[in-house]
Order: sequence, then structure tokens, then C-alpha cells
Amino acid sequence: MWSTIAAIIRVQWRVEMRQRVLLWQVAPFAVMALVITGLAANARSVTRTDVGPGLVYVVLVFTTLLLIGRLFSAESSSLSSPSFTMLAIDGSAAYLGTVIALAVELLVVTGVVVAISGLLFHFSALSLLVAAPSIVVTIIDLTTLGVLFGALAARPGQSAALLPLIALPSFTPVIIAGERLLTAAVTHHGAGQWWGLLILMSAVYGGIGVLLYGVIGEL
Amino acid sequence: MTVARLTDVVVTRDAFPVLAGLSWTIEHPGAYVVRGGNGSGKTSLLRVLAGLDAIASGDAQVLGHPLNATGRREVRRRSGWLGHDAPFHDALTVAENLSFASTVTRVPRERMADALDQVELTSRSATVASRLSAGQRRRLGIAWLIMRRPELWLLDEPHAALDDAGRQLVDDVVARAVAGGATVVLTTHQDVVLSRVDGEIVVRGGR
Repeated sequence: MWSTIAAIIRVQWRVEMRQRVLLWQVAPFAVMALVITGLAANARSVTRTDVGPGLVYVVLVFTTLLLIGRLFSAESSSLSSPSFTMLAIDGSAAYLGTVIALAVELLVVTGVVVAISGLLFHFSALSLLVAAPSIVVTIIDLTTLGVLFGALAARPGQSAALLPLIALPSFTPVIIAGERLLTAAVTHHGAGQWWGLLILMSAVYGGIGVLLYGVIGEL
Repeated sequence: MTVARLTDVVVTRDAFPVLAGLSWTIEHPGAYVVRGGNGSGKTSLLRVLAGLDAIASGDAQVLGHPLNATGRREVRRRSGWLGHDAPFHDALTVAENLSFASTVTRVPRERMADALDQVELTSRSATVASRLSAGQRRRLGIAWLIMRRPELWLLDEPHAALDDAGRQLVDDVVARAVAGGATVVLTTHQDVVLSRVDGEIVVRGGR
């Protein structure tokens, strides 16, 4: 199982190194989205800590959907073919490998987004450092859910619009928890109760993914 | 042991019966040809044998496994498929693709050099799959089957996109697989002549 997970991670990252989708498509999208939403919210004239954390997570959610949608559309044309299905890869290993590879890619983009949000909304480096663990866990939660829904939306005959439709409602509690923890970090208030929700969701969504990812391929 | 037994098998896709009561038995390992026109159900028959599609009604056993969810998984594990697509990522090289497939299926990587040599792709091992021609992609798919050594080879129009040398290569590979005790089932709508054919079925209208 571990060798399969490692092989899937290697393949995903090697493909990224060659195609540079993260560098030339996803990261620029995330940066533009953050700047545009920041300008639209006129962050200079309102309390930055009121809108900043929420906007950061709105951008990260759409970035997650973009990356997952792109991954599964690419896989639909090659790795979801009958020939690939015949490899009979262990579903749990395929899920974990994809989640780990994608989560690391998303964390790279998140690092850029958070750094720019610091400049845009005047978050201090120290507060972002305090928020970093919660941001990491939130991104892992989004990825565990997103990969599961990405596989569902990539089944033959499904529309590409299905992914955001089924993913966004499930993302909501994760985004709320992440946003509350980021707000708490930049305002120096405690919000420890949201940690429980984030960790619970990691366990629940991760468990569901490990159990069901292979089954989705059979549908 | 009977390799495959299909009795009155019906398979539907989007409520349309792509196989409509087909029966066929493969008693012994060997080379078998499925003939039929475009849309006759040749590929659908192969997909059932591969455990890729569930049957709507009828009875089906392949390699001793009934084609329920568990049985289909086991059939896929023991079968090899060569279709119009290939199980390869366009951004990876020939060697990287085979290496990945061998890792996730626990096939010894040491077989790669011989497999690439047999399909005459050794010089292309560092070429990314997207730069291969259709015929070379087909050869890459064959190389993977040679590496995997499945009990049941399912080849969907394997001669398509191949030149004369490529077709001869397919025939040689089929002969070697059968000599090794495997069963090879291939579809064709061409007048393909194999050096050995142990059985044949003509599919018309999914029957």
C-alpha cells in the first residue's frame, strides 16, 4: 500500500513539474482572485480583520476546486481509461496518494495567498505564523473532501459543474472553522473550540474517503 | 478449467442493451477472435470479460469468478487490456509509465527492458508518451501486457494503427502468450489472419 501511495505522489508531482499547471495557471488565478476580491471589498475603508480572513478562504476554496477539477479532467482523459482501471489499484492507496500530493500542491499556493493577504489586509507576520497550523489543517480537510467529490464528479456522464455543486455545501463548516481560527489569530483572540471541528472533519472525511474511493470507481 | 462462460448475458449502457442475450464459452486457454461490424458489441463483450462492466441479466463466470463486484475486481487483477486508449499519462516517459504501472501492480520492474525490446521501443524509453505516434502508443500498451503476463489477454482491435511490422509483432506476442498458457481474446472487423486461432465468435446486434 505504501509503495502505491508513494508512486502516485511521485507521478502527480512529476506531472506538475513538467506541465507547471500550479505555477502558470492555479497560482496566478489565486493571486488575481485575492487582489480583485480585496479591491472589491474596499479593504482600506473597513475593518480589515472583518473581511480579510473570509476573503482568504473564499479564494482558497475556489483555488481548491480549480486544482481538483483540473486534476480529474486530466485523469478522465488518461488515468480513468479502461486500461488504467485494469491496473486494479487499491482504492485506499489511490485516495491517500492523491490527497497527499494535492494537499502539498495546495499548501504551496496557500503560502503565496496568505503572504499576499498579509500585505493586502495588513496582517502581521506573527499572527499569520500563529494561524499557520489551522490553515494547514483546513487545507487538508478541503483536499480530503475535494478529492472524494472530484472522483464522483469525474464519473462518465457527469457534468463538470457537479464538482462545485456537491463540494461547496460540504466545504462550508470547514471554511467557517478555518476563517474563525484565522480571525482569532489576527485579532489575538482565542477560538480554540473550532480546532475540534477541524480535526473531527479531517478524521471523518479522511475515513470516508479511504473507505469509499475505490467503491466510487466501481459505480 | 473453463476460462469464461457467458450465458444469455445482457449489458445495458444508458438503458440501451449493448449486449442482448449473448452466450459464449471459452473452454481452454488459446487464441480467440471476436468478429463483427462497427457497433456490433465486440468491445462490450471484451469489457464484460475484463470485469469492467456489470451485467444486467444472464450468467457470467470469468477465470472462475462470477461477475459480481468482488469477482469483477479479481478478474481485472488477473486480466490485461489493450484498448484504443492506454493506461499511461501523457506527461510521463515510456519508462516512467511502465515503472509506475509495475509499482502499483507489484510486477517486477526487471521485465521492462525485455518488454520494450520485444515491441522495439527501447530507443523511446525516455520519450514522453504524448510524443509517441498512435502505433507507438499501441506498442507501449503491448509492452505493458508483456510485463504484466496476465492469464487473460483482452485486445480490442490490436492491429489498428499498426503497420505491417506492428501487426506481425502483435501476432508474435499473441503466439508467445498462448504458448505460455494464457488465453488471448481479440476483436477485429478486419480479415486478420492469426497463426493460431482456437475459436471464433461473430457478434451482430449484441448477440
